Amino acid sequence: MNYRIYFIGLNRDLIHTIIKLFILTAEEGDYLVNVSSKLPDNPFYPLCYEVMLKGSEKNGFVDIHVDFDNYLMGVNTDLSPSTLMINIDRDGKHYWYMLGLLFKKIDDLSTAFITGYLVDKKMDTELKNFRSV
Amino acid sequence: MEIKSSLELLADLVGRGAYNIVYVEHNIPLSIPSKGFSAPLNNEESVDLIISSAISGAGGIGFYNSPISPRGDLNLRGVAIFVTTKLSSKVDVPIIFCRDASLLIERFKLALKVSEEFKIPVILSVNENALNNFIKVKDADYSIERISPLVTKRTFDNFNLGIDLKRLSSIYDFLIGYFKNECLEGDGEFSFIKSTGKFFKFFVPYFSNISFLTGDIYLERSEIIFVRSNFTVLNENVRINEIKIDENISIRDALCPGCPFMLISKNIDFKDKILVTDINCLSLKKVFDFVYSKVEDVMGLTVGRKAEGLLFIGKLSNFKPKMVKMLSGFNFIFLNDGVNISGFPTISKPYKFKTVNAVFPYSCNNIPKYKPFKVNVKKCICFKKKEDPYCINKSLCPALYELNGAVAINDKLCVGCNLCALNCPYGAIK
Repeated sequence: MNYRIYFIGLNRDLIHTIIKLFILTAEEGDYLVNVSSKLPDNPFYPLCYEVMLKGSEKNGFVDIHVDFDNYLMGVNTDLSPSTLMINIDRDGKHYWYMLGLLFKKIDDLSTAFITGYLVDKKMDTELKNFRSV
Repeated sequence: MEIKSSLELLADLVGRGAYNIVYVEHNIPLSIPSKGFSAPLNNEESVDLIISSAISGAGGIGFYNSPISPRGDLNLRGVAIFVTTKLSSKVDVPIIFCRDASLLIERFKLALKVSEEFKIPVILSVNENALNNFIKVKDADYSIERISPLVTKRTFDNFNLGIDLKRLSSIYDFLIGYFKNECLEGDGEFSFIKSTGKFFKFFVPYFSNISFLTGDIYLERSEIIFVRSNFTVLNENVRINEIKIDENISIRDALCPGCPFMLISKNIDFKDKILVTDINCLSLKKVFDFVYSKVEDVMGLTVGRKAEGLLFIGKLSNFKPKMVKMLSGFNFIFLNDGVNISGFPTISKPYKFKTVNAVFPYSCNNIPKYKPFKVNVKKCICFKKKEDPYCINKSLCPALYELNGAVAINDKLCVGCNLCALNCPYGAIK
């Protein structure tokens, strides 16, 4: 399958960490990965990254929108706090729960890099959120 | 193998380079502070400062999201690198292009080498996609010898040397050799900002040749202006197209917490006004329809005629006191970005005022932080009444979010500017 995943969120450090781990995971899963973006409009504007995973020869892509902070408008968001009816955590701990759900949608990706990272950093709540899906 | 963001990598490269002057335009989200100057600078002043410091041997680097035009008629003793996402229409210095994040280290080091060896300022033109992306890094080893700073009377001879065609020719020969006679490259077919088609790896004024370009090329607006300005005769086989940014994604606006423009709009009616600013912020254009212009240009346009509906909001540091008599043609509010210019009334309560032609107490770069506000959950009833939350929609503040059917405030982001409280009709925020 080919996927086009949009990550949208306010927490810059966290979204960068998540995309780095996601790229490593996807490449380990033999996907061809391409990330595209542009500079945000201002220093507090939500970041938006388009991550393309090419896993088959087909030209079509399955779009998945991961809107960590309810900032996306005009599309049926697949994963967002409002559609999932979860609370936004001010430290972004809900990002990990939503990442867990993304891994469930793309079921041939291994969660090893993420769990390894969270165990290594002793981020117990985040790990619990990630695995609670 | 490690993955880094382009901005982290640039911060690393700058950290290892021991630059005496570092300038970062405020809308570039780079995690390194500006250094080497204490007063707020605009882009033109920073370019001049970096160049003059490089003449005395102190290296300088600037990061810009606006077009800049460094002078090429100089002889530097230190490096002067200008990393920019937008190209100026006319340039006198070599440009190294980087349209792919994986080439960032190589192109950065090449720009340094050209600047160091040929004693000339160099522009590193990085597109937005490459500047906000991720790179696999094996090792980013970087070292370069510095010439110790020394100012003598002869140092001043290095200004205004005239354009040295022999030097530009040497730079062209060096770069064409470096790239093994391949001066064009294409970009990947996947791109948020699609950079398909072949384009230059580098540009040297008077020597780069447009005849290499053929077929359809897709460029950003500033690149199109650059190509049309620098190459008067285009190959008839070239078709230049403007890149259309993917509009599939629409993101709700968010402004900086405490945005002075938002507070001003709460107090001064922006309706039916021509809004002009000298602050380069895309959100101001999108949210309020501001146009960008320098204060000098607005003064020129209003000489001898009064533009009643024109409101200029800009940095106080860009205003020169000798021009005070030329401010009579339009209304203005200067934002105090850390300079001490007296003579204008100061707005003491930024959340409650009616005066124009005055100084607002802070600007975008020095938003003060006060005690965060709190929400009285019992009074916060927008969500219960199925109304759009006034505080979120009218302040566009990223510190506000919904939590359990009420508005919550992220105290890490809240600066206590009062804007959300002013917009809440139920008095739920205090």
